[in-house]
Amino acid sequence: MSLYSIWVLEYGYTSSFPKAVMAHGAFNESARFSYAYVLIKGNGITAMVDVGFDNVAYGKQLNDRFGVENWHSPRDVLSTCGVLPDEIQHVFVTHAHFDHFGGAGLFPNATFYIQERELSRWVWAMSLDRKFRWLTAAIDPADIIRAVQLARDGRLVCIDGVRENIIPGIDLYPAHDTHTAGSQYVLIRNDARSPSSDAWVLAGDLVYCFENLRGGDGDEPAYVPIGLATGSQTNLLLTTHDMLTKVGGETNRVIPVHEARLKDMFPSRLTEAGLHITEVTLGVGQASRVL
Amino acid sequence: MLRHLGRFSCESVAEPASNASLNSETRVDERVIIYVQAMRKPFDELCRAAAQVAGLLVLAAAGSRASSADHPMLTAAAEAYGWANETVRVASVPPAGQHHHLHLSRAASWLGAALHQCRSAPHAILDVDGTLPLLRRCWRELRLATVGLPGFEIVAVEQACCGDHRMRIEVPLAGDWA
Repeated sequence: MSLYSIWVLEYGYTSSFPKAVMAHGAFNESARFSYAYVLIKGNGITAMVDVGFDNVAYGKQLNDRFGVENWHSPRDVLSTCGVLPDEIQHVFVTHAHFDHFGGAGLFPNATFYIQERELSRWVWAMSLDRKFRWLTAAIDPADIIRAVQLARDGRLVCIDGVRENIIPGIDLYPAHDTHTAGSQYVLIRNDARSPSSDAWVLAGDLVYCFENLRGGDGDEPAYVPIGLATGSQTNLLLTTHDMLTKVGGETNRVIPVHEARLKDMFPSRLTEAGLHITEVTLGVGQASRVL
Repeated sequence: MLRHLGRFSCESVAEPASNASLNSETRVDERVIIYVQAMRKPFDELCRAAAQVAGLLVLAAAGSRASSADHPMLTAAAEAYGWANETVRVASVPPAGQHHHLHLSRAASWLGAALHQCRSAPHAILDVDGTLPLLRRCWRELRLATVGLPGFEIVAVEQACCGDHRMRIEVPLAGDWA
């Protein structure tokens, strides 16, 4: 009896993306790159992992200049699961990059949970010489300004390390100095037990694709780090191991939201907008959104 | 076409051509290019200083002990603002750059006000509520400045994942990108 349904909702994509960003060493390969967030629903709770970005606020610059295609608003995307942005109560922010945190203003009733280190190290990076600005790439200062208001409204909760049962059955784990300085991942214990025999990890950008979890050789599994990190590749591998340990070693229970092939691993469908909904698991008493 | 007039494109065409054969339209373009080149760094510095202030505000608003009005980063932000503000103020602005320059000047003005407000509260406590509206106005002007002329970007995505993608779009590799 699962507490929560989990859907990965694509809100845009890049048709041909350099795979070396997704998996270190995959030079001269390309793949579709999904932009997606996660909807969690059940047990009287409606929550998300990350919120995408607000393309309207960017004047569609990202579409036009950086190849993000077919962007759709959270209102459109969530409606495919019968949910409105106003109904989102909790958002677990894996890290502060614009494509994960930039849409925060579109969720007026949500409380956002982020590792304090993600913010404090960003501030630290901002204090360095301009030559270090790579460390703050992909962070939109407007998101930080928005975060000030969220904090003032009591809707930004800074987490320091592990937080178990942030809501029942859901834990937050830090993954410091990996993809970013204060990344975190979300563990859903869908049987509400600890340890859980029905656990799922929402990995944020700690894992971009299946190859990060199992390598390219089916007979000889190996962890392969993502190709874009401000922290250490070693930390990424250790975190990958931790995440897999928490789900009993089952690689299909660590969910990489940017992985376009996720739709082939779980029940899924293509919406009228040309975006994929992937139904990772269905909570007790809830209707499928892909049938 | 805007996508091809980014950060790198402007630099690549900035070398002044020998002028006798240039028509007036080309000379106007040259003045804009020179203006864009001159304003890029002050624009970046204003963005950076505004982001530094925002970062300290969010820490203060979230209750972090790491933020205060005597934080060294605030001094750094004030120095960056001072230089950028002066550079913007004395810039030679071609007619085609006046709209952009208006937004840049306003951004500098709002940032100056935000920095002043930030440090005006007693006991080295950051005045979050007083500073935030000023910072928002600054940021709005900076965003408006990005659409006035090419070559100004707020989010440094050129080093992020989608930035890699952009480079692949503009400089296709042989083989699978044909």
